[in-house]
Amino acid sequence: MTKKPPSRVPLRHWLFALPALLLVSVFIAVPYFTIAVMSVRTPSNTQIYAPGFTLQNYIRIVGDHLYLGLLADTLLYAAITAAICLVLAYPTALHLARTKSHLRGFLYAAVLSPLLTGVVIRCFGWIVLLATQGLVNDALRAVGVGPIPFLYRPTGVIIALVHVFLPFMILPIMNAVEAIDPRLEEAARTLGASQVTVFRRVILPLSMPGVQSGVILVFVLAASAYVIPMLIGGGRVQTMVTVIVQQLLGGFLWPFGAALALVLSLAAILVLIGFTLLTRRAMRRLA
Amino acid sequence: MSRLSIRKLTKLYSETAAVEAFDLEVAQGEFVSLLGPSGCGKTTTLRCLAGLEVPTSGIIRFGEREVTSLPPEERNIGMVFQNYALFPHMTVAENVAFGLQMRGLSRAVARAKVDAVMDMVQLGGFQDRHPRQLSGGQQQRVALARALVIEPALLLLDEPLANLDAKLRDEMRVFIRSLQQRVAITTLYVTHDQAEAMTMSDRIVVMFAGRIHQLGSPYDIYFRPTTREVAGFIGQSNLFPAEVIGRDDARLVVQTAFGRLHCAGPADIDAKIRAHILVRPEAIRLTALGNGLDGRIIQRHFLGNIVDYRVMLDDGTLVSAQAIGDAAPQVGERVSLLVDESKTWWLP
Repeated sequence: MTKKPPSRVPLRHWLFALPALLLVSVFIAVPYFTIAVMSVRTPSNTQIYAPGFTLQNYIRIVGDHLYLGLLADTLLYAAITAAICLVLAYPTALHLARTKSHLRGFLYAAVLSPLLTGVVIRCFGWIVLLATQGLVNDALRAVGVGPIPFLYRPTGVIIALVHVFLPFMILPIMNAVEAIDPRLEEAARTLGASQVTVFRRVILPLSMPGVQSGVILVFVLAASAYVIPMLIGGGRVQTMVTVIVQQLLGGFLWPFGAALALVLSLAAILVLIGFTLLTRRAMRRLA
Repeated sequence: MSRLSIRKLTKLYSETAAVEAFDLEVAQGEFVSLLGPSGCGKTTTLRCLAGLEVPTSGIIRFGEREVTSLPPEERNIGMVFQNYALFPHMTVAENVAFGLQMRGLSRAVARAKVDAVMDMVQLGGFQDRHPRQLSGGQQQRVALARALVIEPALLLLDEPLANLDAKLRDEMRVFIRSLQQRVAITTLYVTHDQAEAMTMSDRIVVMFAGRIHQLGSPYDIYFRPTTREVAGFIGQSNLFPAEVIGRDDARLVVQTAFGRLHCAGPADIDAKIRAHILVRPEAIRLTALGNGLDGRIIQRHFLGNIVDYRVMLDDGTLVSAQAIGDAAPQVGERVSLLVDESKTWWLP
C-alpha cells in the first residue's frame, strides 16, 4: 500500500504566509491581547496596576456620562468627517476614473499631495489659515460674515480631518469606478437609460465596494486621530483618543486607558458593521 | 417601417478617418454584416448607428426619422456587445427587464415579456441566476434577449460570437440567424470572421481602411469580388496575371499562363486591358503531368473532407488548390494544374 498524499497544505506554502502572519500577530493580535488583559487589571495609585482582576474599569466607563458622551462625540466627528469626505471625493473619483485628459497624471498627483507632508505641519498650516486673524476669517469678513471661531472647536478639527483623510476616500472609489466596464454604461444607454439613470442604476451600485472601503478607512482614521484634535482643538476639543492619552501619560491609569481604548474599538467596529449591512441593502435596492 | 439609411457617414479621429463616405440602405428585416479586418471602421460605423459615437458628418435615418445626433437612449435600438456587457449586480431577469423599465412598463407586463423572451432564447428558468453563474453561450443569449425584448427598430451585434469556442460559435450562428428571421428584425452584424458573415447574412459590406470595398450577397462577395483586397480576405484565392483579348457573349476571353480562358467579369470591360483572374482553390484540379501547368506539391494539409495543397509552379508561382478528401498526391510529387474556367473571375 502506498501512502495517500497528505491533504494538508504543504509546509512551503505556509512559509510564504509567515511574514504576514508574524506581522499580524506581533503588531495586532499581541498588542490587542495585552490591552485586553490590562483593561481588566485592578487600578492602583502607586504602581501600574495592583494584583487581581476586575471589571470596574468598564463599569466606570458605562456608568459615567462623561465617557459615553466622549465616545458619542468621537464617533460623531468621525462620521461627519467620513460623510463630508464622501461627498467631496465621489465626483473627484468619478472624474479621475473616467477622464481621458492628459492632465490625469497631474490630477492624480494632486489628490495624493496632502500625504506628502506630515500631519503636524498640515495642522500648523490650518491653524494659520483658520485663526481669528487668519486668511479664512479675513476672507469671510470681507464678504460680511464672521469671524467664525474655527480653532479650539470641533468645526476646525473636522475641517482638518477631512483635508488629511480625503485621499483615503478618493482612491478606493476611483479604483472601483475604474473597474466598471464602460460597455455596461453603453449597454444601459442603448436600452434607454439617460446618463443620470445610468449613474443611479449602474455606476453607483457597482462602485459601492469602493465607497464602503473609503468610508471605513476614513471613519477609522478619524475616530483614532490624535494629533489633529490635539493641535487644532488645543485641548478644548476632547475625543476618546485625547482622553486615553491623558489617562496613559498624564494619570498613568493604564488599566482604565486600556478599557477606554477597547470600548472605542468595539464601538467603531459595531458602527462599521451596521454601515456595511446598510450599504449592502442599498446596493441591492439600487439595482 | 424600420428601414435603415446611412448617407455619406464619416467619422474622423484627429484627422484620420475611421469611416469615410459610408453609404448603406438596409431593408426592413434584412440581415447585413459589416466584414473586414480589425481597424477597418466596422465597429465605429456600428457605434455611430447606436449613438455611442457622434459622426463627423453624414446622415443616419431609421425609417423616416433622422437619428444622426440623437443620444443612444432615444434611438430604440438593441445592441449586443462582444463581452455581452450584462449588469453583474442584477439577476438575469433584472438584466432583461432593464430596457422595459426604462420604457415605463408595469412590473407585471415586463415580467410576462421577460418570461416570453427567455423562452425564445431557450433559457426559461434561468431568470433568478446572476450573469456570473452562466456559461459564455448562456450569457450571450441573455444579452440577445435583453436587446430583443424592447422590440427595437434595429438590432446591432458587435462581434457577439468572438468569445465563444468554435463549436458553440457554429450553434449560435444558426440560432441568431433563425431568431432574427423569426422576429423579422433589421439587423447589422459586425464581424471579422468571413464564415460568420457568409452563413448568416442577406448581404455583406466588406470594409478596408474606413471604406466600403464591396456590398453584395455572400455569393457575389465570394465569386465576384470587386477588389483584390476583398478576394484575398474572403476565402483562399489565386490571382494570375491575365490580358483581356476579347469578348465571347457575356464572358471575357483572357490570355493567361494556363492558355486562353473564358472568364466571367463585369460587363464594361474592354479588350486589351492587363488585369488578373481570380481562381479559387476548389476550381483548380490536380492531374497527371502534361495536362496543364506543371508544378511540384510543396505542402499538403489533410482537413478531412478536403485536402489543401500548395503547388509551386515551374515559374515560381505559388498556387493553392483543393481536392476532396481521399486525393492521393503527396508532397514532392509533380502534378499538372487544370483550371475550371467556369469558376474564374476577372479582377483589376
